[in-house]
Amino acid sequence: MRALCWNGINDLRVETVPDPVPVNPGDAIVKVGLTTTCGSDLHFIDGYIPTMRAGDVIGHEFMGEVVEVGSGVRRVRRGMRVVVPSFISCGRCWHCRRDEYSLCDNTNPNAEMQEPLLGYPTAGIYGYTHAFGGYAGSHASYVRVPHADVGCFEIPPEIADEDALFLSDAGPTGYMGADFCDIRPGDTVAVWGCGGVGLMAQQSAFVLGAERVIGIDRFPERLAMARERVGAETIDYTAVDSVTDCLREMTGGRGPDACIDAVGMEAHGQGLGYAYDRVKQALRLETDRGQALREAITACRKGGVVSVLGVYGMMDKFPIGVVMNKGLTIRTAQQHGQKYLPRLLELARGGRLSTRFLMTHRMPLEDAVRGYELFKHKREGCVRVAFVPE
Amino acid sequence: MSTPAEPNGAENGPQVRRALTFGVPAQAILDAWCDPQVQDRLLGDVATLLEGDAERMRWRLHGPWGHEMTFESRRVDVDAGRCVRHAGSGAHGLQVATALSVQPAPGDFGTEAMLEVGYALPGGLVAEAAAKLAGATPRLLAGRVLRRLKAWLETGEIPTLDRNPSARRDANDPT
Repeated sequence: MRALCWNGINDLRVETVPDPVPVNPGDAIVKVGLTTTCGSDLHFIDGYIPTMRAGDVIGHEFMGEVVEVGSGVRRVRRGMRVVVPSFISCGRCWHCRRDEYSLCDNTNPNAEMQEPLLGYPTAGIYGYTHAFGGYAGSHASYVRVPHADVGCFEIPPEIADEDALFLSDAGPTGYMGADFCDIRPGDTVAVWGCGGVGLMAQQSAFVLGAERVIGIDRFPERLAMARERVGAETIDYTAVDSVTDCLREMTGGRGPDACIDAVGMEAHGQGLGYAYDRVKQALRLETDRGQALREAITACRKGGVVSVLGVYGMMDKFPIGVVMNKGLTIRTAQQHGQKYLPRLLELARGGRLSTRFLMTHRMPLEDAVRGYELFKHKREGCVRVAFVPE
Repeated sequence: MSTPAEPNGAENGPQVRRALTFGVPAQAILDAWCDPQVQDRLLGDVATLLEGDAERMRWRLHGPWGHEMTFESRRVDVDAGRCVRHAGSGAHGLQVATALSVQPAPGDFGTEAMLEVGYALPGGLVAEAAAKLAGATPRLLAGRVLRRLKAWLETGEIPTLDRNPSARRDANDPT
């Protein structure tokens, strides 16, 4: 089959690789219908996240049709049109039983690679480094889905492929980020980042009852999407002296009740702090440019919630003193998609959650290298590229 | 009633301990640990079961750089519902002793298991360094085996990339 493979830093190629086969009884093989770029892919493409190997098939956000199931699969059938969360979860361990699916104990074959860094390993994920399991990803004609009964969600006929695609990752990640905020009537939620996850977090914050949502970014087309598609107010951080001051003024001097970081380790910004991060990251003296997260912590009102969706490594200069003195609550996780998928499918079917607008570009998988170029450099107003395998 | 295990020399060598909590009853862990077919799955590509039952097992160990040796293990002690001990020996003086002990975990966590492995390696420090180079350090292997046992007991399968590799085995080989 054809697949998009990582071959080194900034070296992606579409190649012919072996087809996946079911190995365990709970496996299914899904013929990929649509698969999309994710901002978190850029971290290993740029070389900031280790344990990639030459030839790795990347991609973790996808939908498609089940073409084969293992002997132990009960709920999922051949021919079923499904969307699959990016984390692989067993559904039976202590964490899965508490809806903490990305913390699953039983799906990372390379757990020992994560343990020294994280203390305890997380679940496996499709196409996202060997420390996260080494599973082949979804930018391919077919993908093996372990624990298919837990990971495959049937797409109702009323929901088109294009509307289901982003319920794999951007949708549940954004919804989870808003859910973490414990939103109450009258709340204002500020969201750093107006990419796929940021826009989904903004939309979800409204769904969960926020009165005001403020999106922060620097790209005019993304800010326009936040305003026009989501109904958020926006701040172009390149047009203001201080985002924190701006948010303070917009909220009567209180600050947002909750702040969501949907940016992560390659934040852009301004000023000395950003220059410091940039130099240190370029010299590999730290893994992260943490401007967005630091700003969210500073801008959040006293006693508020900071919800972290951005992917980070071992960030230094983390302002724990600000967190402590302001009594902030930090909530964060990789997405627990299996928890949120039923609700998101219901919202999508009822027209209360719209995701298709994220797909600014659509192209054959054969053009995926060009797709990632557009996505990475945000050319042609690119927010997300969906690839269609042959 | 527990009976003391016979010393086989491994108790004088390096020791590793790994703990993990299982969401299954203690007896299920001990039973699975003594099942040669389960052991065969847990050890994966490190060893292949040649023959055996709950008391004795004979293995072919797959060492670094294609080196292979036979290894025999036997159950030397059972403390019902609490601990099982095995001892084994192979060519060139390899000695291994393991103890898997279990106890109830607090709350609804299930059962805490502790795997202790003592070993004496042929070749001493040189062999140990070679094993480390090959990525099969005993501590790592003990952790991997325990995790596989947990996955097997909790889900009925062991997470694997078998026959579904992502990266190429050889970066210079584009096939």
